[in-house]
Amino acid sequence: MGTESEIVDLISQGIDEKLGHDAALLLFRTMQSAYKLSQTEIVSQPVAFEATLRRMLGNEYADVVIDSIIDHLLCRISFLRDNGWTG
Amino acid sequence: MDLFDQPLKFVKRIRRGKHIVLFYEETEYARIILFEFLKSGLLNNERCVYIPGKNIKAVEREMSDAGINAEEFMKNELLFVHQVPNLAGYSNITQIASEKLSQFALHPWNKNARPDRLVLLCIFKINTQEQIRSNLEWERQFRAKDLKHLQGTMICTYPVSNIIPTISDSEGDYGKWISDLLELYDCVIFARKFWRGVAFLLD
Repeated sequence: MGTESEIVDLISQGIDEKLGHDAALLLFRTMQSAYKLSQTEIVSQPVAFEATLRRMLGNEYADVVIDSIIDHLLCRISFLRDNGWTG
Repeated sequence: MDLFDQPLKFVKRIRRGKHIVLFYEETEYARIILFEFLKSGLLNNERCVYIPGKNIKAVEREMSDAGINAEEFMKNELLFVHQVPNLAGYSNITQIASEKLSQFALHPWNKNARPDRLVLLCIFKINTQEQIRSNLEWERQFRAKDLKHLQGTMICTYPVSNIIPTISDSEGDYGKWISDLLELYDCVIFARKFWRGVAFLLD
């Protein structure tokens, strides 16, 4: 769908929409320091990312944030498909 | 559904024994979170200790404004407010801080009545590498050991004037300091501008 940074941007937008501006930056930094999960691993290991997110936020909040991330990813995929992206 | 009140709900629901580090930009926002934490405990008849940086009368007024009847809770020996010791001028701040805090954080009432909830406003300056080193020594040697043995829930606060640049630079002194604290605590709250805070579990 896109480069690692594009995907991280979309995940960030989904997080910030629910937790506030720059919340994603704080969350990623915390994941890196406390859970040793880098931004590369957030993209390459979505199951680990989701599990970490659930541990950090609890299921109730994590569900809301994950739904928001999915919305942003789907929106981007729809946009690319509608504009002829075949990659 | 917005989650901007998440830090408040987080401190209300926090499980016993967790140690939380709170980085904040706005004092008033941090105070709202801290008072919510104390209020939740007091309403459950938990013994709470608040160690602020100002005199007790001022704290009582602030608590009253936040809907906490501090005088009543203090009379019932549920709330203990102790002004933070003035540690300026001490050369060995870690040792002095540990001893002073032990007196009223570990045993504010008597040796058998330990606090269920403890709030400690930052007593450290963290402007130089030496001060950061001293702070981390206190965190490792005292807070993470002696205070953890209390088995109560605790919030330690650190003012961070601008969190984002500080935390973005993982190689800078403050970035490394925050990383170390994130490894030493059970939970973190980043309280930025009003209602722009997030809270995470770390363990």
